[in-house]
Amino acid sequence: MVALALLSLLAIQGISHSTVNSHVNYSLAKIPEGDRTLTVTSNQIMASETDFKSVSHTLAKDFLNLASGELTREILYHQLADSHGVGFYFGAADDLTHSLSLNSGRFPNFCSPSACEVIQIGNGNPPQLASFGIKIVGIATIGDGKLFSGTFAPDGNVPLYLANGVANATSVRSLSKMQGANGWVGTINRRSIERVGLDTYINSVVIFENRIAIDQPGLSLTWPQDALTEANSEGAALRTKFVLLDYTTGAFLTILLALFSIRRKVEHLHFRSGLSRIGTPKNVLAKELAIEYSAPIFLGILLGLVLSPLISLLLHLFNFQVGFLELFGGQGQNALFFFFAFLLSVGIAIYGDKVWGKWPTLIFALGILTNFLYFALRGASDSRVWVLPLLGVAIPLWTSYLLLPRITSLLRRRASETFILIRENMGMWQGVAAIISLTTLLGVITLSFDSGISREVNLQAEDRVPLNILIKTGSSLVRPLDRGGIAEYENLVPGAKAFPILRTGASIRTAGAISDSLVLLGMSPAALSRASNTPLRKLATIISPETISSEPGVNIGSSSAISVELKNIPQEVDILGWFKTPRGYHSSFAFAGHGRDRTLRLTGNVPRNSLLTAFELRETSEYVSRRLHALGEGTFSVSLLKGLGGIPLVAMDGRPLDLQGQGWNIATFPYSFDGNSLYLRPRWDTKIPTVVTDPTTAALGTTGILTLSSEGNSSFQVRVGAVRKRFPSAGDRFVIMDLNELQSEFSRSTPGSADPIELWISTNKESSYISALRNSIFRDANYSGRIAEKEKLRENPTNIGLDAGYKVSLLYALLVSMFLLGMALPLMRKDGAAGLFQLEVGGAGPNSLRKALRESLRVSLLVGMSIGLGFGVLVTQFYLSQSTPVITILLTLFAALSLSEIGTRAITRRFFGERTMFEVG
Amino acid sequence: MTITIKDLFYLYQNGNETVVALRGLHLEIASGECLVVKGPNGSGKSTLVRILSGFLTPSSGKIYLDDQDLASIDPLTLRREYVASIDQRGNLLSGMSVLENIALAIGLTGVAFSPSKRLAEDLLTEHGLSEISHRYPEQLSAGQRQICSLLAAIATEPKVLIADEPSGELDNEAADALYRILKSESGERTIILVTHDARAENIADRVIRMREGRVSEEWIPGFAEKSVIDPTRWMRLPEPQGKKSKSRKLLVELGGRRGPFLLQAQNISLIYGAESIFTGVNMDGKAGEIIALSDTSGTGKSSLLRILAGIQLPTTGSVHIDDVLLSDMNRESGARLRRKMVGFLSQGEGGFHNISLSDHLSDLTGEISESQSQQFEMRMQSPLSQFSGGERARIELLKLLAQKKPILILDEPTSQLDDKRSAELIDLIIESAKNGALVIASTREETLLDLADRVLTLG
Repeated sequence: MVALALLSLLAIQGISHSTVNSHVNYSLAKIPEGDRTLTVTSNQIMASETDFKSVSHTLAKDFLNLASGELTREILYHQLADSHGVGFYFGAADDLTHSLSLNSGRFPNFCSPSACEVIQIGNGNPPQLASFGIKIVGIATIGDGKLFSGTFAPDGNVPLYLANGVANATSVRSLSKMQGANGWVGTINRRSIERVGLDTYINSVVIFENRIAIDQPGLSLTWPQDALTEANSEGAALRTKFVLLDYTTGAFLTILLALFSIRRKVEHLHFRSGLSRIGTPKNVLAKELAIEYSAPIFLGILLGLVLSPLISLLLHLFNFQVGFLELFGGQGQNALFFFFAFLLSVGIAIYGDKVWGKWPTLIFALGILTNFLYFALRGASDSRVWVLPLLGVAIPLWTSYLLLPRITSLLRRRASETFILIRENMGMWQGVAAIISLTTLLGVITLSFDSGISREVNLQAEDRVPLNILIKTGSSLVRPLDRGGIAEYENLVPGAKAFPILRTGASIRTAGAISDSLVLLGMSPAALSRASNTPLRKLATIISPETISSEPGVNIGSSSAISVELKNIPQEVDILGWFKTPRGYHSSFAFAGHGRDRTLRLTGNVPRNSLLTAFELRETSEYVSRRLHALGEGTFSVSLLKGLGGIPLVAMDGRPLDLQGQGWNIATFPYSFDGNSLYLRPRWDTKIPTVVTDPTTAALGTTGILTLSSEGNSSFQVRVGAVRKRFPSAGDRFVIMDLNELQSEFSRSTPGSADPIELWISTNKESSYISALRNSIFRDANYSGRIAEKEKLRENPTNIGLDAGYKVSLLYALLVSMFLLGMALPLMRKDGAAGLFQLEVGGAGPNSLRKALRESLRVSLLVGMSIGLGFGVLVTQFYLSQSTPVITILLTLFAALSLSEIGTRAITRRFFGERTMFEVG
Repeated sequence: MTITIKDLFYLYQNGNETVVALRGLHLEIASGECLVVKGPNGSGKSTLVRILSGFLTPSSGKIYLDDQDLASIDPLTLRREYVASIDQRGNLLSGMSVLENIALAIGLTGVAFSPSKRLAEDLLTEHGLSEISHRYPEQLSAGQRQICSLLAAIATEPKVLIADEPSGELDNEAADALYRILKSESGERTIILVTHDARAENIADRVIRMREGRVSEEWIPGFAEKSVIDPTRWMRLPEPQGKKSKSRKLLVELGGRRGPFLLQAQNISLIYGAESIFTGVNMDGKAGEIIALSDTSGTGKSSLLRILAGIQLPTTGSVHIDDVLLSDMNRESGARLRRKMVGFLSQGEGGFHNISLSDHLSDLTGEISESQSQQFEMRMQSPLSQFSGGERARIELLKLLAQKKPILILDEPTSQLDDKRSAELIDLIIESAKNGALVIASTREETLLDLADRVLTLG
């Protein structure tokens, strides 16, 4: 068991080491590649080659331990423009052939003050560079992520031209007066971090940063300080959690040895009193004591050390990358356990029967001191870490010791043999109950943590992909429904359902203030129903409008031409028609034509089967430009367009429409343009939509009505229909309402300002859908599946490492418990033979004795499990802030009890053979 | 070595109560004298022995070994160089053979390992025990264990030998052998024998009786007892000894009213390999009858009792209890029968040590008389291990009698009790018989032998 404890401690140390390293790597991987660098920047181009080389040389030495690979030198001028005002960047880096991928042409060869060959990064129309003496010789893309990234990243919409060689680029005469910066870039050295630890690495970088600031004025260091510091803090917290696991294993070892000391105490005292009776000198007695109690510990340690390479191999097998020597990183501090365990076992052997004597008190004090020393040496700073483990071990132990005698009192009359056997061996059963309670406690924590990880992964995956598949607009700015209709998405896999989702930001307008921003989601009641669990299904009916009050308009059917007659509208005013397409998107199209009193036409672009929802009137861009320029010159010569105009006739395919009769007040209307558009729409009934929101937001609506303020500064009211703590992908502040109603509300102030940008797919064949998507016209869409997200989240090394650590600890606890349970009955049979004989003589048959032995174990097991379960729930709820998977735990405990029952029946079956009693007697 | 004890006091706490075990004891033991110490349970005999062995420090008073103050001698040195002791269970170390035990004791006096082993071998051979030299204590009979313990104790040539109830668990033959060795090895050695065993007087130079922490009487074996007045002018008045033999009348009263046969044993024998322990034993017992088993040869009475109780199988023959043939029963049904019919008291301290007296008697609440339970009231919560051998025997017997089973089989029920307690328990046994129980008891106690309806002698 000592060897097993050492191996467990080694395994936890290995997992801890590997996990902290993986966590750092994971954190680094989350930083964009270009920012994962140490970049020294000069505040101006260094024209002197000598200075440049000197600085480069110095920095190369400083970077040696902090950065990996070659130091990349780069230069970037501020944005330049050709004679036509077309912007471009000019820069250079050493040895472009290694860092760029050539698309066409060749790499630049030379660069002199009068002429410089460059290569263009990306496609696009080049500016006129001849006047700069710059010649483009090829097109390439950047392959090295750290090149021209971070603080050196140029505007992505402006072309970049790179010369080969930093030193030569500074000599281009035409750029000599231009501003720019030199940069020295090195990639953060992961191996160095693994070797010295992130904390030391950060300290080294800070020292380097300070030295540059002092020694090299004009140079500054840029590095992902926040990300690294955060990763370091998380790593420290992670290490603390592993220290707790180490502690648990150590505590088990200590308790186990204490138990053995209690058990061996009788034999030992008998032996020692025999020695003492014949006058054995004190030094011989002391040696006997020391050897008897230290030998198992030292032998165990020795065995553990011999077997330790197996741990290294096993860890590698489970993908925990850790060197053999690194396993022993924390063992210096863990030696405290072995020392304390030794002291405790000797102490109990000598003074175990005196509960509060001088020596037991001293040993108890030493235990507390060990606890504090241990955590102090392991660098734990959180006071809970110091106190809770002690309580976590002491309280279950203490209650086992208090509770078991009281529980057994209940058996006094009902099961006298069991009662007598437990009472006679109370010390052992209390120990068993204590170990079982601690194992259960650890099991509860492990299962809670495991289930917490699963739940967290599920929640995070749900947040990322609310239904099975999420299709987003993405950086291409192509909205999902731009690529195809809902039916096309649904037809990819039978049974799939697609729901367009409008996601935008809003805030709550209260009296005189605007609250924090929240997520405003528009979706169909069906989508709400599917994205939520059963209770929320009811909410779908809440946000579902009682009457369909979609945005009012005129269905244009299959009309191919729309014409509008304008009256008294100047020709500096454009008129656009707003249409809501069958896919739910808003589109606007400009009417063409001239003249103050005129007929404008829209042909060709007319979106079929759409709803004509509004006319937009606005100044032409040319008129706005002239007016603003005049204003800039301090003159009002270009006046505001205002007056009284009208649209007397609107016709579709030549057929006049009676818009006036449908609530469109367009025959005569005043206008005044000062940069804003004028929208002409049918009359709109005012109705307050019902929404689902979070408790904080709901609390702001004192009468149940919230005033939402959207980004376009328009505001509208909604009624709180239901309150829920969370909703997938909506964060902790959200309002969810019917998609049509949301679009309508937005359209009141600005038509077309809110259209669905996501598509949520619900299907029970997620992988089939993904593969169908991949092979369809939607292959370029930005999509993600929930299962894939879950897999990604599960790869979080922190969760994997901690989970493994908990499991190693639990495995050790289980082995200890199984060992104890396996040994308890045979030991009781052996040590208590005289008592069992006495009971049998008194009339208890072998069956009764077997039953009594089993019941003894069962009582201890149940008491231990109950205490462990109780404390486990308390610890997970209030210390680890995790919910407890009660059903899973109860099932596990039931399974453990059943196994134990089978085991004890098998063990006791061999007890009390026909001859056994007579041998004892 | 002369031992002089002056005004010795020993006080200790038992719960909230201060117990005075020795109350100004004065005693002088001459060099080479063999002194037998008697006295009722709790009279301070064991305390005196433990103080003389250095296990307890007196509360006040002085002890001189010759002219040397015992307090000035380190206890371990005292036990190694001056005083050797054995108790009722012997003092051999388990896990070591007899030879190793004796060699270790010799080795502690400074003799090297090989010579000490040789000396041990010689000693065992001298006493005809070389055959068992490599056996472990657990493999020895009680008699062999005590004799080997005695040899280990005297092998170190102690100046004083103290034996506390050395024959408590021994049959006559083994006890005789033990006393024979004690006598032959005494020489100039001072011997203190604490025992109730009358046979010890055969080797004693003087006998004293202790009561309430002082010497109350002393006598030379074969001469009359004399009250002792100690130097501080205290003396204990003589106390009437037990209510002996008054129950003879009982036999007359019960004469014609014996019940049916509860136990019948026919032609039973017990043979181990080539050794025949006993053969052809026939006996029966009726309700209300007291049968005593006496054993002059020292073999087999405990085994016979176990066979009668169904705890052990005979080699041949049959035992019926309440007309049920025991050999037809398995252990389970045998236990059921005992639960209903048979109470059995074995020698020794019983099987439990850690449970409290209250727990031990938990199934008998209300069945032990008030006067009986009052005897232990102060210690009902004390673990059984804190009770002396005599007290344990009394507890077990009281428990057994309270169970009121039809058959009581008792193996030396009074062997560890002083006369007073012994008489009390014999009264209880008679009471049980009067109530219809069949009592079969092995005993050396004359009173019980006198009271028995029948006395059976094995051999």
